[in-house]
Amino acid sequence: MTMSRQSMFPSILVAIILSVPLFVNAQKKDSTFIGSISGSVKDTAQNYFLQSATVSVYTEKDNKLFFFTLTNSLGEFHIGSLPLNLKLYLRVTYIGYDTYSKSIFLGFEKKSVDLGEIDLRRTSNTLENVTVTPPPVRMHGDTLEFSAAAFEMDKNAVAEDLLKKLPGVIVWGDGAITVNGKQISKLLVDGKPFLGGDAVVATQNLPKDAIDKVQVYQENINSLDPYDSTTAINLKLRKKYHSGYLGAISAGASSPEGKYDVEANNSIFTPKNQIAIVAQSNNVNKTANDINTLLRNNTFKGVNARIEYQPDFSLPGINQQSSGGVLFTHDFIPEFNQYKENRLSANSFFNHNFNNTINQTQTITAIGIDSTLAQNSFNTTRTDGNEVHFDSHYKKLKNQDSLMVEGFYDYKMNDIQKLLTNEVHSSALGLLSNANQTDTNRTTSNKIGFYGAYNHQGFYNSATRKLTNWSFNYSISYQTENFSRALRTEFLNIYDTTMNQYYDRKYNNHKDIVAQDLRMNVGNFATWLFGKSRVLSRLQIELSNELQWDNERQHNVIQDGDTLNKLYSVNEGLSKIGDFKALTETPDLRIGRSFINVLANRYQKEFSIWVDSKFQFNYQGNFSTRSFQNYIANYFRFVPNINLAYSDFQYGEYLNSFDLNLEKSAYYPTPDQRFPLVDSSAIYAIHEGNAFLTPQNKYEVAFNFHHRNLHSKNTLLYGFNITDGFIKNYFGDSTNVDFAGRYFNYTINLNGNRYLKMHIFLNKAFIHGQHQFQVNISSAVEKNRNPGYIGYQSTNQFGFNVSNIFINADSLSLFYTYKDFLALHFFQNIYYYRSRQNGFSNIELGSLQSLTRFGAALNITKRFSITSNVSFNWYSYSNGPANKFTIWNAFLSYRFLRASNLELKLSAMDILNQNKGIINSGSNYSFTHGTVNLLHQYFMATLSYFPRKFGNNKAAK
Amino acid sequence: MQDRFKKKLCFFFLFFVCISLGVAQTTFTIRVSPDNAHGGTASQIFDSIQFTPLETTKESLFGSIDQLEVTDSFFIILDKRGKSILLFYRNGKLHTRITTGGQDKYFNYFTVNRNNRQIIVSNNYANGLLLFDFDGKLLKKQPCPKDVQSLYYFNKNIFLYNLLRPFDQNNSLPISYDLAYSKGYDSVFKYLHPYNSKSEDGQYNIMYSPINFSGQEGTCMFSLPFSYTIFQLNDSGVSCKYQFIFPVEYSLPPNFESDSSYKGKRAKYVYQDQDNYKKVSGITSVYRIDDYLIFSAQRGLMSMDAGWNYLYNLRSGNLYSFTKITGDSTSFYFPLMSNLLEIPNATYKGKIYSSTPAFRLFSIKDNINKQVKYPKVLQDFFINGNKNNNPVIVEFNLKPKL
Repeated sequence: MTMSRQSMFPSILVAIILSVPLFVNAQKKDSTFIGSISGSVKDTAQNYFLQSATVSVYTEKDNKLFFFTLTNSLGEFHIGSLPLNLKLYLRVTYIGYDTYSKSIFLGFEKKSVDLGEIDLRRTSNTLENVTVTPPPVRMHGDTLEFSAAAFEMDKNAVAEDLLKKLPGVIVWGDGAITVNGKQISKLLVDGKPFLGGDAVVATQNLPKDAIDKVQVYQENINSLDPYDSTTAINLKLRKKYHSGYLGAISAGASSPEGKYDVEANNSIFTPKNQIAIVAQSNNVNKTANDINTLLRNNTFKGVNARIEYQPDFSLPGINQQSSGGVLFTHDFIPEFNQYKENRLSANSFFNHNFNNTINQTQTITAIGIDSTLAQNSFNTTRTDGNEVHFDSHYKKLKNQDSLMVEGFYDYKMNDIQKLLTNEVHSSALGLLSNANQTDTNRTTSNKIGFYGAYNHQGFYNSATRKLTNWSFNYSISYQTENFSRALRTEFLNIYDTTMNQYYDRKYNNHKDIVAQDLRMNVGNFATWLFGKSRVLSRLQIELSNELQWDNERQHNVIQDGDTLNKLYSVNEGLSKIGDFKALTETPDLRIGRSFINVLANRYQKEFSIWVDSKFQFNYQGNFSTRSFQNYIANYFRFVPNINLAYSDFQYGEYLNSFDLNLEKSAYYPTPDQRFPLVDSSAIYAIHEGNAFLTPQNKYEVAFNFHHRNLHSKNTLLYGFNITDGFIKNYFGDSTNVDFAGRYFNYTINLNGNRYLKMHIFLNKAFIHGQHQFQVNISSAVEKNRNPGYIGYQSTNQFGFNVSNIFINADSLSLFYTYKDFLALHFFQNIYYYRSRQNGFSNIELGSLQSLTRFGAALNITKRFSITSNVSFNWYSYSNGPANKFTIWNAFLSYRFLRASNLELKLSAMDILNQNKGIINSGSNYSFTHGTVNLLHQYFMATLSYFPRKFGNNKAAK
Repeated sequence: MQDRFKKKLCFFFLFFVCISLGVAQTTFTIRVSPDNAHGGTASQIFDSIQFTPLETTKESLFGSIDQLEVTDSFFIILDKRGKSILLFYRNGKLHTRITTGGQDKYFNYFTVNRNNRQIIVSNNYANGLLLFDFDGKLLKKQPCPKDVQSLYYFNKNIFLYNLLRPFDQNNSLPISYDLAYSKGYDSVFKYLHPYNSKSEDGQYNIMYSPINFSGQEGTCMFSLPFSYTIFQLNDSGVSCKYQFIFPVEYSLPPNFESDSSYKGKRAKYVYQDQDNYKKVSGITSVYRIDDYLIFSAQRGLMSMDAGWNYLYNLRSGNLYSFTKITGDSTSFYFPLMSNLLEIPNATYKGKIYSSTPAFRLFSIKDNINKQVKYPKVLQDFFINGNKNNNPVIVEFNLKPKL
């Protein structure tokens, strides 16, 4: 019988242990470490040598683990570089056998001892071997198990510190964990994801003392595709630690006064249930929009040089955020793996955001040959947003079938107050107009939704003709939204005061949306249709269908105020009751074929081709009390997709993957593009309709390549991708600036759009003794050719224009860590944007930005650490002066108490007080640059307390 | 005194039984407790071990050994995925290679007519058996019964065919047979091993070798998945039966093969249900050398060292697991038939033949820190070859009276 399988993983794991010298306690390599012990381990009763038996050496005086290894394929072990003149003892353990121990003394006269064949006896205990000190490592079937107790560490050490000590396991500077170069797919605690599943939440919070065993194992082993298997780590907790409480409370106050930052986390876990309650409030631009961010960045151990949850000095405006939530999971069965799962989880989150932004910008629009319009704006916006979110998720997985059900509820309320003043200048005529606007609005929305998915994976048996796989998923959501707004606009035309405008408009809009989505996939029909035919039954034939059904009702009441009578009357032109329905039905016949070329144990090459014959039917029906908006549209499009993929897997060497995708897709015009109600109070963005709009068709080719090195424990990954395409009947923009300087635009179908995107990347990580290095390089280029129409009534010119946009972004990132002592980070990013006009205009607009960042974290002692980072920012835009500023932050932190769980942190932010809010952005034929207010220098002292409790005692704060 | 009399009585009785039955059909009951199998060192189990690397050139490169037959001059190897049958000389050099020549054309199984020096191959495209000579020349095509899965040639122009079980039960007869004896290629005169096709199905047609030369002249071994009974057959019928019994935790439920409640679910039970991974799903590669029985116990468990291959002494009842046999100087410290990649492939003139992939020899050699004097063929192999070389044939000579 042959199965070309390559499950070498247990042997690889053992090979790691044998090849790396495993001195558990740091020692000096001096001339006294020349002793050695050797021998072999045997079961004499059954006359065979035991492979992967654990052999460990302890110092007899204090019972400290000195060295451990596993026996090789011949049952032998050889331990060198042992200290002389020290009482040692040797222990040999193997599952199902009694432990063997022997005292050994190596001296100058007898430096090496050969114990010969060590006989292990089958244990008479029917229960698992319960020894006083478990072996540091052992192979338990296909699982490599490390015993935490064998590794002595500081009493405040956490799981991450233990993982760093395990041979073959590497915890990288950016948080990734690899085993023999392979990144782990998940980290579980007691067999289940821990408080949301983020490994950092577990490894940086759980004390090392809580852990019984670290288990490393393979999952999803596919006999034909060995590289498909994933590596997982499970932290098995000790008996009294199966339940516990983890907490974090911190509060910070600043100088100058007014800044604050408070956080609280409480997590409780038991074998079946996990609850996390988190909350924070700050006005220092730290943004936490989900529970995981708060859990991940408030761990006991704390972050090192990673710059994640930190005040964001580039956020515009003054911000205040309070957010928090509750996470709950309940496991109905103890198992959680690729075959079995039965879990209910619920999440709730609230978010309150307050923002006060003041910005000053100039927008340059290329409006003709050597002709531009410059719009100078001064804008103050206050936003007050509240959001409450709740969701609940249930998943049941049993062998081939899985069911997932999810429900959510979302409440949002946003209050915005805006004050805007604008001036428009033309390069030919100078100041044309100015405008003042106040805008107060509130949006309230309630949304409730449901999602269900069922998936059946048939058991592949080439002999049967039965349907093997089918899946379907369905989602529905219902949303109601209320929008109320009071807008006052005053517009003055310098040249012709008869063109002055004044609006005092109130909006009261209500919207109800029901959106549904149903997707199904069934296959493989080839064996049904073609029976035993050799060639045709090798095809894969699937049927897929997606149905989207949206229903939107609007009830808008707009009122205009009369300056004389101070009364508001309904604006019949803009008020309406409307009903919009859209249905998109996309059936898909998928035909594919794979070709595999395997040379057992050497390589596996696979080529596949898939052709999707997809048709799309789009129906839109719009009904409105403003009857010109009524329409019914039906569109029918053929939107095929072809995919070719090739992978070349060389066992133990590398994996190359290539993917080429050709796709045609369609985008349908909306009622708002075709028949909007034109609101002239928008002055600088008056949107008109185009009844003759037809759908745009996109044709795209995308190519992807990526290479992964499998050779060593140091990872190398690189690749590139290219996307090229064009859009026929592109929704181009037609903008006309009238005599008064008001901007009118509508959408028009144009040909001539083209785009190209290219991206290359390389990631390399390597370890050299205690030094870890990581390099990430990335470079992207984007070119867009966007046709449009622009016109300027004052010069009586109107014409076709093409904006050629070119973007280049390059970045380099380096990480270096040395033991647990030092972490360094360097980052350089350059961003270049340029837009060249061809046709009606000949103007060129652009910008160049550079960011250089350097960070360092130093753990001077176990309790005291210093972190600092510096960013050099450089911004320039065409024809303008460059803006440069340096932001320097520094932190000092010190841990108090025996348990090291009280921390005082001093932060100095933007020490040089140079922070500037620079706005630099462009699109097609306009470019905006300017400044915005934002966070500046401050100093803060934060006190944090991390209460932790494990076992059956009630949680104590 | 009494004992000796009892023994004599037994012998007389057996003698009479044998005479009256004409054909002596013995049944051996073999109790296998994997946990209690013995081990040893290579020197204790084998008299000698010989490695023969197979030449690796563009013409001779192949994937894996799906079937191996040994003759005085050749190793005859079937590589199904590679759509080839290769003949290597006993020294490892390539003699010739037979290919199907087509994308979807495969050789399934072959048997050897040593007298006429012919290879008879069942396949999926020629509507009959293909005959080749030992030089790789296609001699002719012969008709054969429908649905032949594997076959065996007895020297008196008698063929034994193992027939595919039907996939579509509705079209089959109520009683069908797994085995058919044929005089010449297509003249069936006897059927054996009936089964009820309504309660059993095509799930039995799992890719593995159900018939192989037994090691005893003129007989072959036959086994089916989900069954613990092995039949040793000669040119007229069953000459011996081997009934395997495993401990409860390693056994399939009773009547697993015939119980209709398992119909259509057997493969899933054994290969996909996690809870059943330890249970033995079938017995293959059974060879009889004197009093020894060598066999592989298949399991759903995807573990390298699940302990597949065993040696059983029919006389003494001693059981050895090849996983527990440690390499030593006799085997140049290589472990033997100890995992999934190395199973007993064939037997010839009292020796067992297995194979090992090249990468395994290289990776084990790097981890052995002993002074090993490799034979010249292996030295050349390690110097001139690499892990992408063809597999290496290993020939084992068992010690007697284990």
